[in-house]
Amino acid sequence: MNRQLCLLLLIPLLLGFSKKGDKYISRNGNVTFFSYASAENIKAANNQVLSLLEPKTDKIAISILMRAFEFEKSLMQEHFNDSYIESEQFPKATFEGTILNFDKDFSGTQTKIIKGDFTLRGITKPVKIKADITKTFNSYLISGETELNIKDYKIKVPQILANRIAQTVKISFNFKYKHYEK
Amino acid sequence: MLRKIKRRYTIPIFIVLCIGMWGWVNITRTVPATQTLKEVVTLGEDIPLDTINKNRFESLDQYIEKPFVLKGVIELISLDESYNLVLVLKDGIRASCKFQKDQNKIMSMFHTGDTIQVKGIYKGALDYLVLQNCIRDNDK
Repeated sequence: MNRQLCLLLLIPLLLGFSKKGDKYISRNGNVTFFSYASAENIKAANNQVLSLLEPKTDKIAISILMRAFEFEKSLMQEHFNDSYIESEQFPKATFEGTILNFDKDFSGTQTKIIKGDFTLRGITKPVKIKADITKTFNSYLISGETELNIKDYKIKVPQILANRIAQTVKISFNFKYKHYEK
Repeated sequence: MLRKIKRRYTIPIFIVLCIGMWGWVNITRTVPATQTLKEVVTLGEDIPLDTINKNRFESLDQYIEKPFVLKGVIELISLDESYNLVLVLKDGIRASCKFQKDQNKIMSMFHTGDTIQVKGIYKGALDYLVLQNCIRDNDK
């Protein structure tokens, strides 16, 4: 009788635990970008990126606040927000994708392709990203990099600078996830 | 003759120098330290927390690039060149605060679970408020 009672009490607890472990969140994800320019390289970092990971469905979602990119020079940051990205009109960039052939139970690092849609300045394009995914005791780490073509997202570069700025931007990211708790 | 040449070139040289200085000041301009910003919006006083709809922060868009003061419990601490905290405010609203580098020494004394009041520039929101150039605020 006692054993049955214990089991009955344990079931909701276990269910609760598996529910808690369904989703993982990162609220201090790191995204950096680098663009080669003949006059001066353009680089910026954002350490306040939101990402959700659902290992059960292999889904990943990322939301980036464009104003949170920090540049070495504030003038560059102003140009980035006002002229190129138009952050007032398009405050966020988002990515939604699926990790292909993801083994959620594999302890250690696995290199996988994440296939999904990246939206920047209201324009959505399919992208494939190579990423290293590491599972630790109670968290996941995901890092990787990709390249974006600035023409795909209709980023307007003044004619005078067109030949001095590379057409591709290298994006690197690094997320450390923990269990999602509301 | 010499005086004539001097007169002819003085004004253009002066203009070129002024433009050069203006350009230099503009290019090397840095963000003002948050300590120097006086007019602040205090979350919980100027804007009651219960008026902010959790996960829908559009009502705060008018304050983008303005200094906010807020108080919360530290949920997460990370450090690269400077500290980055995730705070949980009353009503469960979260805020991510990236600190100025000059705050590293002060911030190294804080731990998760501690309560802190910060002042920082509001940049917008994801499912949490995003503040940058944060400092520990002792004013209130």
